[in-house]
Amino acid sequence: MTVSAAVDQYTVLTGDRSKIKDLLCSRLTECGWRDEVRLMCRTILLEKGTNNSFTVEQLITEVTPKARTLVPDAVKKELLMKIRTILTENEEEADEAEDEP
Amino acid sequence: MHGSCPQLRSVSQLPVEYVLENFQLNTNRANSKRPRTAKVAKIRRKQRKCDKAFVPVQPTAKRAKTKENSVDSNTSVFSSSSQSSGVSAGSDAGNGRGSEKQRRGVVGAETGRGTAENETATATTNAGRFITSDLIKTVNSKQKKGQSPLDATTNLQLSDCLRTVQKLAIELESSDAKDGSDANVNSDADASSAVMSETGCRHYQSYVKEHSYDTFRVIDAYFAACVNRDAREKKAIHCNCFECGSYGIQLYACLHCIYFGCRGAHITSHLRSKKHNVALELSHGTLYCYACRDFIYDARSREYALINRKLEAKDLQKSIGWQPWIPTAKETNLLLANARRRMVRPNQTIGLRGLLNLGATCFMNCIVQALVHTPLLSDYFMSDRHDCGSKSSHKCLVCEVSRLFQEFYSGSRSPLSLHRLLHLIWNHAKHLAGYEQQDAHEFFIATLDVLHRHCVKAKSEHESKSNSSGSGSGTNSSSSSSSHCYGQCNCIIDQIFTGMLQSDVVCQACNGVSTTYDPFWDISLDLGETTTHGGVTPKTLIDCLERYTRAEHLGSAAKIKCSTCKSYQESTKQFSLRTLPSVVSFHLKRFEHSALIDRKISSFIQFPVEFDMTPFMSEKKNAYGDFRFSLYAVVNHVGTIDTGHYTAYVRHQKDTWVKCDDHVITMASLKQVLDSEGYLLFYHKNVLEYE
Repeated sequence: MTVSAAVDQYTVLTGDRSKIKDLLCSRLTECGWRDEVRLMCRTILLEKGTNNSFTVEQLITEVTPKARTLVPDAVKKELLMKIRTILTENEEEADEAEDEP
Repeated sequence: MHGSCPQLRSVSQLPVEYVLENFQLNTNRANSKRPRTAKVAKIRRKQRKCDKAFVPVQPTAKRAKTKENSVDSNTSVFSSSSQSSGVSAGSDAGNGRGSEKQRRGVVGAETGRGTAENETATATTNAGRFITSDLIKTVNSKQKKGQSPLDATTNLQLSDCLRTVQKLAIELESSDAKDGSDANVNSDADASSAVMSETGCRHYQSYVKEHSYDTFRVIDAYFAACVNRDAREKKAIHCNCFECGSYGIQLYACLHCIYFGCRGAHITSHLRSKKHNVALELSHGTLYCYACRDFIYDARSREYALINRKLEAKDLQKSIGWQPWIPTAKETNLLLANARRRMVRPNQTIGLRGLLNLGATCFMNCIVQALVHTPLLSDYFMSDRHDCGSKSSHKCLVCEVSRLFQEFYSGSRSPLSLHRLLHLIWNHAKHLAGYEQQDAHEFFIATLDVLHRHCVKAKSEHESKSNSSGSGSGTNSSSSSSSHCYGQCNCIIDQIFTGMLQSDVVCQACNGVSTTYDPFWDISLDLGETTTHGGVTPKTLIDCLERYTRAEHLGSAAKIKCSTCKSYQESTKQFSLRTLPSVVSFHLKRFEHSALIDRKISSFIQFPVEFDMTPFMSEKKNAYGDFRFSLYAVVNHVGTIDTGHYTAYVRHQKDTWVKCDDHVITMASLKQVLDSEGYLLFYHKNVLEYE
């Protein structure tokens, strides 16, 4: 099992996953990312949405790389820190649990 | 920084509690510590429990594999299904009967309680009988087909899971009914669903007709929003892509059979090959229809999803996550009635307006520009949150500011005259009346004060009106407004601008500390030479703040009675910031009035665009807060102490600065802003706390 899968499992199990997700959502809204991406989707749709064959998948493939680069570094850093804290806390507490008889 | 509607609501509600909590600290500092530590301990305990459970995750996963014949996360469904289908069919036949019994029990219980429930609950009871036979049919049919080895086990659980979800939902409803708080939300949802009439697509409709909402409800409750610990465990163990085994960022669950797949090829190839249409996207709980190649929205499913989100929030003791804005019936009607829309694009000038100089009123113009460009204030006024008694609205400064915001965002480009605002200020802050030049800082504080008073007044009038409707208690309102003690107020001004200053006086004899707290609206910083530390003149804003928060020896002339050793002693005094407001304004004391000379200090003080206030906080080690601030407005003064002119730089949009010089508005670069002298500096908190 890879590390990321273990992290995935652990965070899902403790419910931290959903809290991290909420945090990310609110940060992305706060920094205007959400609005920017919405605007981007709108412009793309205005350009290409006229032909009916334009699907949501196409929109996603077009928007995703741009939207990824738009995520501010501060947000990424904060999320990383948050995950790291959660994992170190887990480690500490695992140690404590071992110490206890 | 620009919050959308739903967010806004929470932003302005929560800082209140935050502020209040900190005011309580005032009275008893030791006490306030307790709940927090208790909470931390509780969380710790909880985590520990989880940790213990986490340790055997691996073994359980393995056990699950052998016992339930589940798919190995790394092998494909198809390869393993061939070996295990025989075993699973056998064991399931037995279990299937058992579950049927259980299910009957549930149906009985449900009907018994049915009368008490509302419409949705009875609907499920009616459907209950139907599901019983229906489910077994699907279990059987799936066994025959041998679609997926997980099928059988999960279908077995489906009934149990459904029962759990329904039970939890009922509990939630009853607790909500007790609180009475969510009644509005529910009625809102009903109204909106009636207006929106979102019914998904025809594929989804036919899917629901065939399979009912139960599968959706359970999959959503267990794998999208995990409603309890059991669900989280199941998700952690089972929820990975059947194709590549990854726990992926975006997994889809097929709603026809048990299949998880990554976004893109993995899930679509399954849907295509099995001719299944509906899948659920698990990270946001959105329905996807493969036949339409699109996401679909269904009002009824959304209601179930919302219940699950609430359950999840309750279970994890967190607030409910971001929810899309669904207009209420009232809002829909408003939108329909006002068909004209304005879209805000980058490089648009909407929100900018010049202000006429009414004769040395530039001190007012620059403050108004700074206030109008305060994000939280514009959120408040643009969402029409000020509700004033209609009678006195022409006397109310808050109403006037509210009107100003409408003018600023009307799209008109002609300069605005602030004569009404000026008149109101003259009436309510007598010391500013007259045609003389005034100090912008004094005007800023006076404006906040009048706004604060009028907010309190409007609120108390509102309350007295709603409490005793028409009993003529107009006279009472004034007395109640005066009883509102300063600082314990949750008006928009105090929510945004009020911080708390802590001053510690340390007795030199016994080292006893006496601490007092004072609310503040701005921080006034000295620029002159320091008298104690070798005559240093501050060069940056940070220097000024360090000087401000440095321990200061009060000297032998000012002996203070120490409360610990009960004698008059020399002491040191130190300021620190107990709490910070969302908007911190710094006043650089450029105008020096002393007995000998009145002069203006024009020295250059460097100030940053973004900075962290943590070093100046009372509790530096408190890791909970985020005290990063960004500059959004600068008021400058050119001229001498007697006569001069005020201009303002304001941040119009992200990274766009404009210079407001009365009726002239020009683009400005960040360098220009940072090179300016600076008299009043306005900083906005980057991250707003919700608690």
